[in-house]
Amino acid sequence: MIFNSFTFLLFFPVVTALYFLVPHKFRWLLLLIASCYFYMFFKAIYILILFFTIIIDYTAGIYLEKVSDPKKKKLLLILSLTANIGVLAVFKYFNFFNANLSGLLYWMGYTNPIPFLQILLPIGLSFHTFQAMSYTIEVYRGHQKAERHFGIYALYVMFYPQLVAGPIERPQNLLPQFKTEHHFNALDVSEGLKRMLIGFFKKVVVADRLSIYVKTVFNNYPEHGSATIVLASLFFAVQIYCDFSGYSDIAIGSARVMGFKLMENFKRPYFAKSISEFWSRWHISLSTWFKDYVYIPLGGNRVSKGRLYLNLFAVFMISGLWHGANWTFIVWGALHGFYLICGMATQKWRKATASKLGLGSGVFANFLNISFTISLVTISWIFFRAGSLEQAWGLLKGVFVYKHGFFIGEPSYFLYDLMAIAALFFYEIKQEYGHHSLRFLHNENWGIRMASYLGLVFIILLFGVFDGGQFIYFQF
Amino acid sequence: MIVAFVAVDQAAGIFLYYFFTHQVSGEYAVANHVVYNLNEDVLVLGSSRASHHYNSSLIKDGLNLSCFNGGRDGEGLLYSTAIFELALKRHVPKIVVLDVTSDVLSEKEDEKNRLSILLPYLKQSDVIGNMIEKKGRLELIKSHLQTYRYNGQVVSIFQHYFLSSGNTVMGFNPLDNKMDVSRVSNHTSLKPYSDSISADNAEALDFFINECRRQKIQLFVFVSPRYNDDTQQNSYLKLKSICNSNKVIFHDFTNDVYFKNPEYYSDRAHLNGRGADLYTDTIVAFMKKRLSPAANVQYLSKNEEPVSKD
Repeated sequence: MIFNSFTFLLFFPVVTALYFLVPHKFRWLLLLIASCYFYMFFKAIYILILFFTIIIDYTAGIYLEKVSDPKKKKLLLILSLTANIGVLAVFKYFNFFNANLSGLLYWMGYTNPIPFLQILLPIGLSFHTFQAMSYTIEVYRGHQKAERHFGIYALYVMFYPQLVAGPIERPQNLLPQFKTEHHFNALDVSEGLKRMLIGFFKKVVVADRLSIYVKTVFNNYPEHGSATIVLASLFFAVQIYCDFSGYSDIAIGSARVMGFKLMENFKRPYFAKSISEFWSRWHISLSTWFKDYVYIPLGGNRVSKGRLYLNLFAVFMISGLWHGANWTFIVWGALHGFYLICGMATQKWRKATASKLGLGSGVFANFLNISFTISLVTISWIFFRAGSLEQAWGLLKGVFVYKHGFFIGEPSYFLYDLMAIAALFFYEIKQEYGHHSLRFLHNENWGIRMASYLGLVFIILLFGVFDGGQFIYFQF
Repeated sequence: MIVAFVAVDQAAGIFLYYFFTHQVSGEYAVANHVVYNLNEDVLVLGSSRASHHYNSSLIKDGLNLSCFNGGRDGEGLLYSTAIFELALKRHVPKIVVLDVTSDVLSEKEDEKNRLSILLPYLKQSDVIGNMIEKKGRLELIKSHLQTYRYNGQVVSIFQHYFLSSGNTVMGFNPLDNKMDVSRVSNHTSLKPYSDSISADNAEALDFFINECRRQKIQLFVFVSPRYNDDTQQNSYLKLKSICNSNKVIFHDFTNDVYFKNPEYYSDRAHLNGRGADLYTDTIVAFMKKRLSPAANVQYLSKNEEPVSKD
């Protein structure tokens, strides 16, 4: 089931109402059944994969706590992680590596005898696998007690708001919340619904609207000139942000209505003044996962400069691969690693040059830094969006090819695109710089607040794209 | 809150319906003419290829019958069938020209999604509801929201209400550019006969033909010219088979050598204005021959079933 479907608009109030009607001791069961139903909307049989990892990690957690021998503990952890990564390897990466092996063998004059698997990628596999792995690692480290209640552990992996596209939660935050009795709280309901409304706006009014233009240009890029390709790339940067952060808003909002508080996943990333700041604002639950479970174990900042750069590059390459089994994602990750290394290596020189030019701080300096960061990120998004490296390269070359004319497409749709971006910019700038004037959804005046809710609902109904389909990040 | 929502939704629906039905240009103005004001003898229906290929004025002069072109960009047979059914509620034309593509009966992912454009006509006929239901039952539930019926159209409605734009004449919308032949491949990327037949589209074609028979309308089914050949499709075979079994006059101009001149094209699937005029002259001559007393089609004289000479 997807959040931007009519089915979810029926599912959500029914599950929420039942949640508050059912006694606390049965709520885990209700949420687990609802989550299974939610997941089985995609491909029912794949729930068995989830059950497989749940059983492995649940059992591993209990034994990790019981066993005191560090070697045995480590072995248990490795077994659990191997099972999880093995599922990812089979369902997500097998065909990719096999295709590359075929290419290599063909180049050497051989034929690859290994057949390709005829399987579909289970939706959100990387998300719930990483969440499950975070549990066993935390139990191994002694930061989290093993969960004895199988149902509650299963719910930790399967909690429907964040099951298929995060935020990737940590057991310390989520597990205790299933045991706490949440009473109906008007503030939680109101804040949760507002958050969901904003998420729907981002997804159906901004992301799916922009996707029409982006798809048209990216699928026919040889026909378009530099200005059109640059605009389509910038539109894609906004599209993917609204697609993913919109999902996170709906996830956080729908959990909040029931009293659950999920971690924030985005903090207006396009206001970042550097790539490293960008990564502290973009997909926070994944970047902190990589920081806690990969980067720090590799030595973190307490290693030589060369090793630090190597670690950073490796983490971002893995992050790219996490997103998808395609070289485009690996290059995307590698580009970000490269940006970060360049940023670190030139930090002193850049600071000195900026202060010599009088651009050390201030509005103009911030503007330059934000623009530069957006430009770098947008270049990387070209790889992320392209279907192949060849297409990405073609698009990058297209940026430098002048062609007469500028593609607008259907004029009214183009106008919607611009209006949607303007509305988003207005909302984000208010959030970023904390302006409290022109408050709509949070206005103290009841009438203005109600009018704002209605206005936003009608904007979604009139301008949203309701056939936009799935969220981009579901495929990961 | 719910009461306010329903009230605003209903009020907005009435407001938008007024502007929607009074658009003076644009694709909906063409569709509105077919639905609310059709009084012409000849009606052309189909996709963008209908809209850009059939010059209504030339048909009018050639057949001495008034003509309106109700073709619409990007729309397939389901749309044509629905709009035809709405037109018949008010007026029965003498002749209908249905322009189809070779893949008209192929299963296409987005064809049903596009049926939402019929939502503003929902209250006109049950046929629209049945058609929209093909997209999914929930779509009909959503359509109870008046504002949802005008989703994605607000700017376009006001634009075409206040500003007349485009060069449509009696529904005909000629394309004025010339195809850059160096950038066009004559080969189709389609794998021959790899398409699957859409049961809904085949049913719609049957329905269309039966309605014409019931209402004594002379039906011509044409595949208008295209620069490249894309006829190697199961849909094309099925189309020919349905037309033959129903004795419908069907003619395919895809491989007519006369229309293989790139000068006549705007792109490989669409004729430009010059090509459209030549093509219209050709089909007018074709139709005249079929409609002449010497022909074996006695359709315009009453009480006869359409019978093709072929």
